Amino acid sequence: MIVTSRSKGLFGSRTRERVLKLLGILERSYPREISALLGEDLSVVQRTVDALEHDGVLASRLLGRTRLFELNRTYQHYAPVRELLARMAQSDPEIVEAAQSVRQRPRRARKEL
Amino acid sequence: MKELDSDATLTDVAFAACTALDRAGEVAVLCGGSAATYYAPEAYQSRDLDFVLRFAARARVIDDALRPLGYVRAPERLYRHPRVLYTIEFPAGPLAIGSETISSYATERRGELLLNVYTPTDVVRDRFMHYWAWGDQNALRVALAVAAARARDIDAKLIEAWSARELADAPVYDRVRRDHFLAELERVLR
Repeated sequence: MIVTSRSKGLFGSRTRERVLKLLGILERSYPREISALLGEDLSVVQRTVDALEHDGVLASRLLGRTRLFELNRTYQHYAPVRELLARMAQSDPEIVEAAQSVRQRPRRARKEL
Repeated sequence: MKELDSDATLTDVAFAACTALDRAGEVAVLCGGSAATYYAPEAYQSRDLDFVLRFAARARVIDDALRPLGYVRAPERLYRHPRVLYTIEFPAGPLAIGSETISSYATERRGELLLNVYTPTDVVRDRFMHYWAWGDQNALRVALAVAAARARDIDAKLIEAWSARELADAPVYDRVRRDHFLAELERVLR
Protein backbone atom coordinates (compact mmCIF):
# COMPACT_ATOMS: atom_id res chain seq x y z
CA MET A 1 0.00 0.00 0.00
CA ILE A 2 1.31 3.42 -0.90
CA VAL A 3 0.70 6.12 1.65
CA THR A 4 1.16 9.72 0.54
CA SER A 5 1.52 12.42 3.12
CA ARG A 6 0.42 15.96 2.44
CA SER A 7 3.24 18.39 2.94
CA LYS A 8 2.52 21.36 5.19
CA GLY A 9 4.73 23.36 2.86
CA LEU A 10 6.62 26.50 3.61
CA PHE A 11 3.71 28.24 5.32
CA GLY A 12 2.72 25.63 7.91
CA SER A 13 -0.40 24.28 6.25
CA ARG A 14 -1.44 23.29 2.76
CA THR A 15 -4.48 25.59 2.85
CA ARG A 16 -2.37 28.55 3.93
CA GLU A 17 0.03 27.96 1.09
CA ARG A 18 -2.73 27.58 -1.52
CA VAL A 19 -4.58 30.69 -0.30
CA LEU A 20 -1.38 32.75 -0.35
CA LYS A 21 -0.36 31.49 -3.78
CA LEU A 22 -3.80 32.27 -5.17
CA LEU A 23 -3.62 35.80 -3.74
CA GLY A 24 -0.11 36.00 -5.19
CA ILE A 25 -1.72 35.82 -8.63
CA LEU A 26 -5.15 37.40 -8.10
CA GLU A 27 -3.80 40.13 -5.80
CA ARG A 28 -7.14 40.37 -3.99
CA SER A 29 -10.10 38.12 -3.36
CA TYR A 30 -12.78 37.27 -0.81
CA PRO A 31 -13.27 34.08 1.22
CA ARG A 32 -16.22 32.73 -0.77
CA GLU A 33 -14.34 33.13 -4.06
CA ILE A 34 -11.15 31.62 -2.62
CA SER A 35 -13.17 28.73 -1.24
CA ALA A 36 -14.83 28.07 -4.61
CA LEU A 37 -11.62 28.35 -6.62
CA LEU A 38 -9.58 26.10 -4.35
CA GLY A 39 -12.38 23.67 -3.46
CA GLU A 40 -11.73 24.30 0.21
CA ASP A 41 -14.36 24.52 2.89
CA LEU A 42 -15.49 28.14 3.41
CA SER A 43 -15.00 28.01 7.17
CA VAL A 44 -11.45 26.69 6.73
CA VAL A 45 -10.65 29.51 4.29
CA GLN A 46 -12.21 32.04 6.66
CA ARG A 47 -10.09 30.82 9.56
CA THR A 48 -6.99 30.82 7.37
CA VAL A 49 -7.37 34.39 6.11
CA ASP A 50 -8.30 35.62 9.60
CA ALA A 51 -5.12 34.08 11.04
CA LEU A 52 -2.99 35.50 8.23
CA GLU A 53 -4.53 38.91 8.83
CA HIS A 54 -3.81 38.65 12.55
CA ASP A 55 -0.19 37.80 11.71
CA GLY A 56 -0.01 40.92 9.56
CA VAL A 57 0.59 39.04 6.31
CA LEU A 58 -2.83 39.85 4.82
CA ALA A 59 -4.92 42.98 5.10
CA SER A 60 -8.63 43.32 4.43
CA ARG A 61 -11.16 46.02 3.74
CA LEU A 62 -14.89 46.08 3.24
CA LEU A 63 -16.23 46.68 -0.25
CA GLY A 64 -19.98 46.89 0.22
CA ARG A 65 -20.70 43.79 2.29
CA THR A 66 -17.74 41.85 0.97
CA ARG A 67 -14.44 41.62 2.84
CA LEU A 68 -11.60 41.72 0.33
CA PHE A 69 -8.27 40.28 1.33
CA GLU A 70 -4.86 40.99 -0.17
CA LEU A 71 -1.22 40.88 0.85
CA ASN A 72 -0.59 43.53 3.47
CA ARG A 73 1.39 46.25 1.75
CA THR A 74 2.74 47.49 5.09
CA TYR A 75 3.92 44.00 6.14
CA GLN A 76 7.63 44.10 6.85
CA HIS A 77 8.45 41.51 4.18
CA TYR A 78 5.76 42.52 1.70
CA ALA A 79 7.96 42.95 -1.38
CA PRO A 80 9.95 39.68 -1.12
CA VAL A 81 6.90 37.66 -0.03
CA ARG A 82 4.86 39.05 -2.93
CA GLU A 83 7.59 38.06 -5.35
CA LEU A 84 8.02 34.62 -3.78
CA LEU A 85 4.29 33.89 -3.87
CA ALA A 86 3.98 34.99 -7.47
CA ARG A 87 6.82 32.64 -8.43
CA MET A 88 5.43 29.76 -6.39
CA ALA A 89 1.97 30.28 -7.84
CA GLN A 90 3.17 30.40 -11.45
CA SER A 91 4.83 27.01 -11.01
CA ASP A 92 1.68 25.43 -9.59
CA PRO A 93 -0.64 24.49 -12.49
CA GLU A 94 -3.60 23.95 -10.16
CA ILE A 95 -3.35 27.48 -8.79
CA VAL A 96 -2.77 29.00 -12.23
CA GLU A 97 -5.85 27.20 -13.56
CA ALA A 98 -7.94 28.37 -10.59
CA ALA A 99 -6.80 31.95 -11.08
CA GLN A 100 -7.44 31.84 -14.83
CA SER A 101 -11.09 31.05 -14.20
CA VAL A 102 -11.60 34.50 -12.68
CA ARG A 103 -12.25 37.43 -14.98
CA GLN A 104 -10.22 40.35 -13.65
CA ARG A 105 -10.24 42.71 -16.61
CA PRO A 106 -13.01 45.32 -16.68
CA ARG A 107 -16.32 44.60 -18.31
CA ARG A 108 -18.69 47.39 -19.30
CA ALA A 109 -22.19 47.20 -17.78
CA ARG A 110 -24.85 45.56 -20.00
CA LYS A 111 -22.16 44.36 -22.43
CA GLU A 112 -23.01 41.08 -24.13
CA LEU A 113 -20.70 38.19 -23.26
CA MET B 1 -3.02 48.55 39.97
CA LYS B 2 -6.58 49.82 40.29
CA GLU B 3 -9.37 49.39 37.79
CA LEU B 4 -9.80 52.10 35.15
CA ASP B 5 -12.86 54.36 35.30
CA SER B 6 -15.26 55.02 32.46
CA ASP B 7 -13.77 58.50 31.94
CA ALA B 8 -10.26 57.14 31.26
CA THR B 9 -8.63 58.72 28.20
CA LEU B 10 -6.59 56.81 25.65
CA THR B 11 -3.45 58.14 27.32
CA ASP B 12 -4.67 56.96 30.75
CA VAL B 13 -5.28 53.46 29.35
CA ALA B 14 -1.93 53.46 27.55
CA PHE B 15 0.06 54.29 30.68
CA ALA B 16 -1.92 51.87 32.87
CA ALA B 17 -1.69 48.93 30.44
CA CYS B 18 1.98 49.46 29.59
CA THR B 19 2.88 49.71 33.28
CA ALA B 20 0.85 46.61 34.17
CA LEU B 21 2.59 44.66 31.41
CA ASP B 22 5.99 45.98 32.45
CA ARG B 23 5.37 44.80 36.02
CA ALA B 24 4.49 41.38 34.58
CA GLY B 25 7.87 41.33 32.83
CA GLU B 26 6.59 42.19 29.36
CA VAL B 27 7.92 45.10 27.31
CA ALA B 28 5.07 46.49 25.20
CA VAL B 29 5.39 49.41 22.79
CA LEU B 30 2.43 51.57 21.75
CA CYS B 31 2.33 52.00 17.97
CA GLY B 32 -0.12 52.56 15.12
CA GLY B 33 -2.88 55.14 15.22
CA SER B 34 -2.99 55.11 19.02
CA ALA B 35 0.60 56.41 19.15
CA ALA B 36 -0.49 59.20 16.80
CA THR B 37 -3.35 60.04 19.18
CA TYR B 38 -0.87 60.15 22.06
CA TYR B 39 1.20 62.84 20.33
CA ALA B 40 -1.59 64.73 18.54
CA PRO B 41 -4.96 63.99 20.19
CA GLU B 42 -6.61 66.97 18.53
CA ALA B 43 -5.70 65.58 15.08
CA TYR B 44 -6.74 61.96 15.49
CA GLN B 45 -8.75 60.01 18.04
CA SER B 46 -8.02 56.30 17.89
CA ARG B 47 -10.31 53.98 19.83
CA ASP B 48 -7.98 51.02 19.99
CA LEU B 49 -4.54 50.77 21.47
CA ASP B 50 -2.03 48.70 19.53
CA PHE B 51 0.81 47.34 21.61
CA VAL B 52 3.56 45.26 20.05
CA LEU B 53 5.33 43.04 22.55
CA ARG B 54 9.11 42.98 22.27
CA PHE B 55 9.03 39.24 22.88
CA ALA B 56 6.14 36.85 22.35
CA ALA B 57 4.17 36.30 25.57
CA ARG B 58 1.66 33.70 26.64
CA ALA B 59 -1.94 34.93 26.54
CA ARG B 60 -2.40 34.03 30.19
CA VAL B 61 0.39 36.43 31.22
CA ILE B 62 -1.34 39.26 29.34
CA ASP B 63 -4.74 38.26 30.76
CA ASP B 64 -3.41 38.35 34.33
CA ALA B 65 -1.65 41.69 33.81
CA LEU B 66 -4.66 43.48 32.32
CA ARG B 67 -7.43 41.95 34.45
CA PRO B 68 -6.86 44.24 37.47
CA LEU B 69 -7.41 47.25 35.15
CA GLY B 70 -10.79 45.76 34.15
CA TYR B 71 -9.69 44.50 30.72
CA VAL B 72 -10.76 41.01 29.68
CA ARG B 73 -9.81 39.05 26.56
CA ALA B 74 -12.62 38.96 23.96
CA PRO B 75 -13.06 36.23 21.32
CA GLU B 76 -11.91 38.55 18.51
CA ARG B 77 -8.32 38.59 19.79
CA LEU B 78 -8.53 41.88 21.62
CA TYR B 79 -9.13 43.07 25.17
CA ARG B 80 -12.27 44.97 26.20
CA HIS B 81 -13.26 46.88 29.31
CA PRO B 82 -16.96 46.89 30.25
CA ARG B 83 -17.02 50.67 30.82
CA VAL B 84 -13.99 52.08 28.96
CA LEU B 85 -14.36 53.02 25.29
CA TYR B 86 -10.90 51.90 24.23
CA THR B 87 -9.91 48.36 23.26
CA ILE B 88 -6.39 46.94 23.49
CA GLU B 89 -4.83 44.77 20.79
CA PHE B 90 -1.50 43.04 20.37
CA PRO B 91 -0.60 42.92 16.66
CA ALA B 92 2.05 40.42 15.68
CA GLY B 93 5.60 41.74 16.02
CA PRO B 94 8.31 42.63 15.44
CA LEU B 95 8.03 46.41 15.49
CA ALA B 96 8.62 47.44 11.90
CA ILE B 97 7.95 50.32 9.56
CA GLY B 98 8.22 49.25 5.96
CA SER B 99 11.05 46.74 5.83
CA GLU B 100 12.92 48.36 8.72
CA THR B 101 12.82 46.74 12.17
CA ILE B 102 12.36 49.31 14.93
CA SER B 103 14.57 48.69 17.92
CA SER B 104 14.40 51.98 19.80
CA TYR B 105 11.38 53.80 21.18
CA ALA B 106 10.51 56.52 23.66
CA THR B 107 9.71 55.77 27.28
CA GLU B 108 7.46 58.42 28.81
CA ARG B 109 6.81 58.66 32.55
CA ARG B 110 3.82 59.88 34.52
CA GLY B 111 4.49 59.50 38.23
CA GLU B 112 5.10 55.80 38.80
CA LEU B 113 3.57 54.87 35.46
CA LEU B 114 5.49 54.38 32.24
CA LEU B 115 4.63 54.20 28.57
CA ASN B 116 6.82 52.80 25.81
CA VAL B 117 5.75 54.44 22.56
CA TYR B 118 7.03 55.02 19.03
CA THR B 119 9.06 58.21 18.78
CA PRO B 120 7.29 61.12 17.04
CA THR B 121 9.49 60.54 13.95
CA ASP B 122 8.45 56.88 13.83
CA VAL B 123 4.77 57.76 14.25
CA VAL B 124 5.08 60.12 11.29
CA ARG B 125 6.72 57.53 9.05
CA ASP B 126 4.36 54.78 10.24
CA ARG B 127 1.32 56.88 9.31
CA PHE B 128 3.01 57.95 6.07
CA MET B 129 3.64 54.26 5.30
CA HIS B 130 -0.13 53.70 5.31
CA TYR B 131 -0.58 56.56 2.86
CA TRP B 132 2.33 55.31 0.77
CA ALA B 133 1.13 51.72 0.61
CA TRP B 134 -2.62 52.24 0.37
CA GLY B 135 -3.09 55.85 -0.70
CA ASP B 136 -4.97 56.49 2.56
CA GLN B 137 -5.52 60.24 2.72
CA ASN B 138 -6.44 60.21 6.40
CA ALA B 139 -3.12 58.56 7.25
CA LEU B 140 -1.34 61.32 5.32
CA ARG B 141 -3.28 63.98 7.23
CA VAL B 142 -2.43 62.38 10.58
CA ALA B 143 1.27 62.00 9.67
CA LEU B 144 1.47 65.69 8.88
CA ALA B 145 -0.56 66.65 11.97
CA VAL B 146 1.82 64.73 14.25
CA ALA B 147 4.77 66.34 12.45
CA ALA B 148 3.25 69.78 13.03
CA ALA B 149 2.45 69.04 16.70
CA ARG B 150 5.94 67.71 17.46
CA ALA B 151 7.97 69.62 14.86
CA ARG B 152 11.07 69.91 17.04
CA ASP B 153 11.23 66.13 17.52
CA ILE B 154 10.89 65.16 13.85
CA ASP B 155 13.98 63.96 12.02
CA ALA B 156 13.03 64.77 8.43
CA LYS B 157 16.40 63.66 7.07
CA LEU B 158 15.95 60.22 8.64
CA ILE B 159 12.51 59.91 7.03
CA GLU B 160 13.84 60.96 3.64
CA ALA B 161 16.79 58.55 3.80
CA TRP B 162 14.59 55.66 5.01
CA SER B 163 12.00 56.21 2.27
CA ALA B 164 14.78 56.28 -0.34
CA ARG B 165 16.02 52.91 0.95
CA GLU B 166 12.50 51.48 0.84
CA LEU B 167 12.09 52.64 -2.75
CA ALA B 168 15.43 51.13 -3.73
CA ASP B 169 14.71 47.81 -2.01
CA ALA B 170 11.06 47.51 -2.95
CA PRO B 171 10.07 49.56 -5.97
CA VAL B 172 6.45 48.48 -5.41
CA TYR B 173 5.74 51.76 -3.63
CA ASP B 174 4.66 54.90 -5.45
CA ARG B 175 7.42 57.48 -5.92
CA VAL B 176 4.89 60.27 -6.57
CA ARG B 177 3.23 59.74 -3.18
CA ARG B 178 6.61 59.77 -1.45
CA ASP B 179 7.64 63.02 -3.18
CA HIS B 180 4.30 64.60 -2.31
CA PHE B 181 4.64 63.61 1.34
CA LEU B 182 8.21 64.88 1.66
CA ALA B 183 7.21 68.23 0.15
CA GLU B 184 4.27 68.50 2.56
CA LEU B 185 6.47 67.47 5.49
CA GLU B 186 8.98 70.17 4.62
CA ARG B 187 6.15 72.71 4.49
CA VAL B 188 4.75 71.83 7.95
CA LEU B 189 8.20 71.73 9.54
CA ARG B 190 9.25 75.08 8.07
